[in-house]
Amino acid sequence: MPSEDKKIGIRIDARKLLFFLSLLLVVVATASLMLGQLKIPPGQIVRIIASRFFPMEPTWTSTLESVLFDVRIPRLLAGILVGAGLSVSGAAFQGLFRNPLVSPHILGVSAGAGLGAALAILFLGNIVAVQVLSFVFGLVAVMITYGLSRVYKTTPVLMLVLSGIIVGALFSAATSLLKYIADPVNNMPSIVFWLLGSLNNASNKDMVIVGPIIIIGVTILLLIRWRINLLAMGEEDARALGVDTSRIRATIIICATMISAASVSIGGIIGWIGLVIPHIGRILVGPDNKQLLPVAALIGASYLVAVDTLARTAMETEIPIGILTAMVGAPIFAYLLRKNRSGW
Amino acid sequence: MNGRKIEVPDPLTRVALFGGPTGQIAYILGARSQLCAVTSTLRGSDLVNAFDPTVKDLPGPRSTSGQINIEELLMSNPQLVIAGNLDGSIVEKKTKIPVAYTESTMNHGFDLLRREIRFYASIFQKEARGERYIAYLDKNIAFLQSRTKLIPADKRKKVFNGYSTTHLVTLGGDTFMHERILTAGCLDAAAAISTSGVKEGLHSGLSEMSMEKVLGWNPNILIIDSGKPEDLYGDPRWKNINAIRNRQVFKQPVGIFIWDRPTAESAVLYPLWLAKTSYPEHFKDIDMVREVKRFYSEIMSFDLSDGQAQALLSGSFGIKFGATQGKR
Repeated sequence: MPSEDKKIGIRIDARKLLFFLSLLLVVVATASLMLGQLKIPPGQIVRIIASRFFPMEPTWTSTLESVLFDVRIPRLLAGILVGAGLSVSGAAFQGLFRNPLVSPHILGVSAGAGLGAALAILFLGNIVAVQVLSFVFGLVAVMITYGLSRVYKTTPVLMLVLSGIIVGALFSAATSLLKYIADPVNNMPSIVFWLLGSLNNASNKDMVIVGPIIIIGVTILLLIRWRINLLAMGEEDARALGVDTSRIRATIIICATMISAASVSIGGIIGWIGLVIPHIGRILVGPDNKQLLPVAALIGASYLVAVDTLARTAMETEIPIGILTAMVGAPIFAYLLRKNRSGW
Repeated sequence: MNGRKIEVPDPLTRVALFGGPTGQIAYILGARSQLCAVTSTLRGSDLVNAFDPTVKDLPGPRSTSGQINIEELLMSNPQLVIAGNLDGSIVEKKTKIPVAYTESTMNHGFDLLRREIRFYASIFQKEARGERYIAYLDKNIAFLQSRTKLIPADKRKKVFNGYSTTHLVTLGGDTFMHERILTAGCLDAAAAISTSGVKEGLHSGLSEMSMEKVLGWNPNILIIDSGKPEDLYGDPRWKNINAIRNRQVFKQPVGIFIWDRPTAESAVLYPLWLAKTSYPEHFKDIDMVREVKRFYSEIMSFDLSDGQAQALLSGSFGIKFGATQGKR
């Protein structure tokens, strides 16, 4: 276990940190509910929410209620779930592949989802089809990656990564081809907007369908997080200790893939979160996945909610969130790496 | 159009026309026989194919902005290329064919359109046909203004164009669309939004709005370009918007090209269609099928059947795209 190396990172008491991060998430989430293109006084927002629990005479229009319950709250939930989900699967993948450069998209899930979305935009043209096809194609891409990696009889982890690159490249090329032949007037802008990512379309219905998938995936990964540590020792050592590595590996891949595919289906391709947030977590608590995974989940949730709030309020028009996560995430990452080694 | 001077060969018999939305200009001017190459957009238009099936025999070396097959262009042997800035610069860089530049911006109002029509007309030496279109355009604008000026300010309908599968992508108040909405006697929901300017990978002039912004605007009329109005009538996020409550969601028509672009056909017909759609009580005497048939017949010599005019208005005419279509 790398935890004997005390010099790495900042190392804060995990319990205090978790409490602080939970508090941070509550603050960020509350602020996010208060902010938006429509200026609603905070008192009004509190009253509207309270009216759902206590009988109250409404002093507001049904539009304001709709802004809160049909737009801001589902979007907030989407930010929390996608942020936490991508960060946890990123951390789990980095542990599984024993590589700090791995993100949840490494096995081709986003490339697959992108192709599914492009096909749906081109041939079906409605938002439900886009979500369903992107989810299905995300899963299909990872299944192909997994199947391909088993064809070769060498180091499975390395083959997984290589297969992921192959499958990702093929699916991306197919998406580019669709963009090329797509009608440049209507469909291509739709595909481009979708690929840039946005939580603008998150609805309550999405949350009911997709939310449980992400919650279950994150829960399973959190439950088996100490086993990810075993994988980090290396395949042979872990097996020598009697650990069924291929089973843990399959569980991690299934969970992370379900999470990423579900995330992509509601928010499009949101990069950088799954790569950067685990590193920030590692700077704070070190590389032990027991502490790292919950910390990454909380930071990821707060981060994506904050960035999404920026995306929908900074300008009159929406800023695609994929652009912001990269533009905000990359410099933070560079700064943190300079200040603290992240413990790899 | 952009201040450069070119010499136009005389007689001009072989012109390659690369303006996306303005491809229809050759039909307006009656100069179809002088074309030797067109855009693949024009070649893929269902409406054009219905009345000019030989358009498919013309090469389509330009597939979309910036994508030009130079060999195909050279084989079509043009005397002149008419193109926007990006396409024109590519042609100038790679060939010796003279290029006449057109405007390719999204703040393409009626004034610019008139100047552009006159520019094309002078190149093709079809000034009379150009003026005939401009007269038709001006008469239509004057008609709409005289009808809609009686509508009191508090009765004016607020229009939002909700494009893409999300119905949240729109053209802002600094694009040509603003003028068209006002010409129809409506209010532009996105009037304060600025969306012009080129965005990578996107048609310039489009930006995504946040859902709550649209809820705040609360438009009376929603124009969509994909999907069906019924999809929105069942969506809880949209249910408080007037246009959804009153079932005032409409799919925009598609003629030679989609009508939310700065084309010559949409400059006349879009404001008329929007006015009739928004204020049916003020335009009882206007039958859009008849108006569509009249416009295409008088201006382009396309004699549409009632069925074709209805298909056009319902947006079911398509534009087939693809790099591999057509003969070489």
